[in-house]
Amino acid sequence: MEISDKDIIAFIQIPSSKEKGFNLLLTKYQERLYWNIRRIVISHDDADDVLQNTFLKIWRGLDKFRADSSLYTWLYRISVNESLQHIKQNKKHHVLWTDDSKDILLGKLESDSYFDGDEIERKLQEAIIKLPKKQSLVFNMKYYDDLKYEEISKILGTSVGALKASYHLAVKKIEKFLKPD
Amino acid sequence: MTNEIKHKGGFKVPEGYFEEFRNKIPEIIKEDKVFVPKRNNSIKLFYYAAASIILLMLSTFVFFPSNNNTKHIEIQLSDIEYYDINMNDIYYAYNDENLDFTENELNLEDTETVNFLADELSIEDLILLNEEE
Repeated sequence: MEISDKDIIAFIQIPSSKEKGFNLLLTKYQERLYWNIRRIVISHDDADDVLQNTFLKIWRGLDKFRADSSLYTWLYRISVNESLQHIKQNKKHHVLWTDDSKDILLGKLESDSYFDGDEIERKLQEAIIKLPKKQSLVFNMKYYDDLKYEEISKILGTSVGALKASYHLAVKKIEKFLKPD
Repeated sequence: MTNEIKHKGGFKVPEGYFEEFRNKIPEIIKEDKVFVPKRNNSIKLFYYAAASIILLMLSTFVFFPSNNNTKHIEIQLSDIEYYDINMNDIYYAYNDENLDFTENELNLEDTETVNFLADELSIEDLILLNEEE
């Protein structure tokens, strides 16, 4: 039976059981956070790096967690920020004819040995990568993670209305991209 | 919510990755606890010492300036007392600009008055007028 967020928070708030609470948090959320990160950074190796950094940041920030937002919202926000930060750093260090992060991510999609999707899945990922950053984040959270708009609003700090519009636009663009000419 | 992940999109993960990760992270956390970047007190002391030395050097320049640039011109009293001032000395000391004070001194606007004075008064009269003033 999976442990509740309430219990995890209770463990974390007591100094003597903080480590135990963190390990429980790790067990419960590592996969979800991994996939969230993976869909943003595309390659497995990058996702591994970002996931490590994310949990390190979570560990360091545990004392500051006030439980104003839900635990998952807080974790998710950290993972999104770390992913975007990683892409930004990648853009700086990438020696390519272009420094556009979308081109870099498309390159990673092509070269990642841990991507074995079929042509449709590859095209879908390509379409998502080509979306504006916020639209791609919203699309991934809604389509893959089944998050509610209210939850996404807390994570990204955007209004529910704007998120709905964002998702709608994202879907339209992806449909257009995937439609055969 | 269950921990079931939707592996959509064609992405896959290496075998046993999450188990390995679950074991790896606590070790990283332990290292993070041990290696906490604290401020190095000896470096602080070094900077304080360097700042003190620089301040000391600066204050030396401010409060004890070098006297090399000042030149004392010692004038002998005898040079002044027995110096016979000659009109020629004054003449050679002044240049034409100094001597040309007619425009500044004379502020006569009335040309008639100037001419009258020039015509009616002789040189002697003028000298006498000056002596009276």
